[in-house]
Amino acid sequence: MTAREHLARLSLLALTLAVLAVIGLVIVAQWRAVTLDCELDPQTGIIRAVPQDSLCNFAGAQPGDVVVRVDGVPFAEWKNPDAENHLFEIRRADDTLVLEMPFTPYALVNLPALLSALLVTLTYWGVGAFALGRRPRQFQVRLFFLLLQSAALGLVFFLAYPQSTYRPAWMEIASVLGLHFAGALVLHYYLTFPVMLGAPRQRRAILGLVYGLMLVSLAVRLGLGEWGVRVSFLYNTAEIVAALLVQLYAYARRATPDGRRRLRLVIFGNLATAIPPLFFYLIPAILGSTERMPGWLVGLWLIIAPLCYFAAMARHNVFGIDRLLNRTIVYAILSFGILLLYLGPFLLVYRFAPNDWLAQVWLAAGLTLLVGLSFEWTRARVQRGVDRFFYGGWYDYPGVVETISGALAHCIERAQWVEVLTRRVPALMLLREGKVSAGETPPVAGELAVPLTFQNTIRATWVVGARRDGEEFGAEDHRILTTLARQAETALGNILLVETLREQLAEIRASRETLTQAQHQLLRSREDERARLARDLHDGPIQDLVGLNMQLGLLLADLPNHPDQAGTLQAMRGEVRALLGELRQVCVDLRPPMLDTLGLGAALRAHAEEWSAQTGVAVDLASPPDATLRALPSEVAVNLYRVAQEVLANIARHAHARHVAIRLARDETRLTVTIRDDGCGFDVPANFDELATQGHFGLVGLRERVMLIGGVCVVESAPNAGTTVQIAVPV
Amino acid sequence: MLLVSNQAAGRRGLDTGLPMTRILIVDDQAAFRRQFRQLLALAGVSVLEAQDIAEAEMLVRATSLDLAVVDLMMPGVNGLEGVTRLKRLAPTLRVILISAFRDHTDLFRTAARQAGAETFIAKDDLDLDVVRGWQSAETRAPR
Repeated sequence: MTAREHLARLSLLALTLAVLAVIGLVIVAQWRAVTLDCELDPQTGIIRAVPQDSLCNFAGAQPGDVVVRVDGVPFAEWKNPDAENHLFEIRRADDTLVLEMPFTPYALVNLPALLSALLVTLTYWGVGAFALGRRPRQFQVRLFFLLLQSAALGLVFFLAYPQSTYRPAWMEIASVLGLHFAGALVLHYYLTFPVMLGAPRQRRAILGLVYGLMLVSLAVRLGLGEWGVRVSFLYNTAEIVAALLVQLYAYARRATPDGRRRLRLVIFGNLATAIPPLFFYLIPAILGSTERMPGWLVGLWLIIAPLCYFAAMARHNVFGIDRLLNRTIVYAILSFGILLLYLGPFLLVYRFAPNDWLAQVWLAAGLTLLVGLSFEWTRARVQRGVDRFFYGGWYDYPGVVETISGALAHCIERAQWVEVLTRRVPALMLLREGKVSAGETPPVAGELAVPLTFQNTIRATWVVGARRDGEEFGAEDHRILTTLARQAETALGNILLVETLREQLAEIRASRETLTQAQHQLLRSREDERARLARDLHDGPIQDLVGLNMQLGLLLADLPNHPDQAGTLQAMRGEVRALLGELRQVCVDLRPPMLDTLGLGAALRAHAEEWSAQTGVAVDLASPPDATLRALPSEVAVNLYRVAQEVLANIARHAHARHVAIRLARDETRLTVTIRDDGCGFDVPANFDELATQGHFGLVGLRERVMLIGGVCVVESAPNAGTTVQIAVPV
Repeated sequence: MLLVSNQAAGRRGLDTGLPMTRILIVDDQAAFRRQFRQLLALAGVSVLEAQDIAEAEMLVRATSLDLAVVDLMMPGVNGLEGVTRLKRLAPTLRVILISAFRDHTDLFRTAARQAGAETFIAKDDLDLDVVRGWQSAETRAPR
């Protein structure tokens, strides 16, 4: 939580306590203030009204009398009254008379007004605090809380002191401030609830206007007396009307169907609260005529709005806060029941056997056992009863939607999805177990078949089991099941997509595997073909030429005395040898004979020497004795030889190296070939496949060969840091 | 295949002036064996032929030989391995490894010597002089 959030929470808590403190202050102040039990202006001493059954009437006071002195002290200077009889010097018309009258606490004289003020204020305070307690972080709830607390502060003084003359000046100001602020907040609140209206900029502009007008009206009210009152009432009226209109607009045009259902009660409450005071109190006050509705009734009337809000919160989950209330009521009922259960028998035992401790212990044990055994059963019944009251149905349907939506949102496997629809929904909605079948399925009696479509095709049918209480599905059930079915369709769409993706992935993997196999097969058959060609060359033309060469040699030996013929034969022999040399080279290129006779070590050494002679790059080769490498499987030997050939060819083409080190090492499980050059190097991509995109096709082909013999290939390089290729093959 | 052909040398009347030597040719190529036998006959050598190492081993066990000329590239057991086997059977037998290839003869010669052969020689270098060289080396070599 941020510091700002901490500060906000502290302020809200402080406000909650402050409003409560103000209410307490009003009670204490009224209790400690004393007055005559008639309507006496504390400034002028004029008695305005004398109730029939009051002590003042009994003593003979009349409306219009003016108190001049009390116990001989001028009324204006007289202080410290106590609840005793005092002598009042009264001027009536031109006469002066002395009456003996008692002072009484103002709270007692003013009791109906005080009680109605407490009722109204505590309701506003309580509903606001309750909403805030449930959703302390929600912006609209905070606005709602501020609105109710301002209204409470504005109303408490106004209602607790029906005669404005008894109201101290600071209370007047606090009251005006509270009501003005509440007026602005009403509009602010309905601009954000149930939906945010307008763009942020528009909202800011309107709110600036609203709060600005509030300040103007406040200044006029506090500065202009009678006309100020009219202007401020006009402002309040305008704001309440505007708020109602905004709310009706949001309800009609912008709210979701579910939102409308939740709002209906709130709107009813607001209209019922606002219209009578508007027509019978505010408008007459603005026009300057007498109000048609007494102040206390206006106060009591204003209680309707928060009560409707409370009912909406409880019954329609406005702000999503019915659950706590629901559970609280259940446990309150249970606690009360347990209390009664214990209290009754114990009172009987006390009455009839007060000293029988054994009976009391048995009773306690028996009752505890009874409570323990029946608790869960009772709780379920009470919960169902409370749910019936709360939701008008037989289960907690907002809870069902919330839970099932959450569960469906997490489904990516068909099995999970089926489990949610066939197990969890029936468990929450008290249904018999359902099933999900492919395509369309007719339902059995009492069941409900809901087709689930995706991309306009029915993909499955959700057969919802019958209600466990045996009743038919009601409209509420249908609605909630339809809602759940839509959620299930969305989840099914996701699952189908995931399934398609998986299938495609498997196909891609399979084709990639096939491709690799084909590649390996190609490499193998190419090597086989080359070996066969080399062998055919060796066994055929090369042997023939060797034989021819030998025959020529024999002929030459027979003809030492015929120099002409010998010369011709010698030339022929030279040609034969040249041809033989060419064929041998072809053979060696196809398949180095050394590989199959002297082994990989010797073959690599021979190739390295030749390569070094061609390129001028020095090569160091370190390997175990040739004999140890002769037993390598021919496939391993030839592929490692080709890999080394390819690496050396790459070095010659790209590396600009001066020195190459080749190292063969063999341990019990594997053979490692490391070829390191001191050339220019390159950036090795994290993914080997990217080598192809960078044009290093040789390295990619090299890896294919290594994979063919079950080995691994690591390339390490960096610009200007040479390159190391290491191949490890299991042997 | 077993063929003793010292009559050929007698018929051609080529007198090498050297004692008769018994040489075994081990090669899978029949044509080469035939041609080489002609060459050896000229040198007055008595020749035995074997088409693989197994046959050569049999002959080494059965007869007394002076020299075995073994081809390197043979299917199954190759010449290098064959040299080792023959030397194991008859440590005093002189063996020479030959091949139709002649690149990196130094490497082959080293390998041949390590296996116990006297030397390695490319097939197209085989002529009467070489064979006579073997014979004279034999006379010099202690028996």
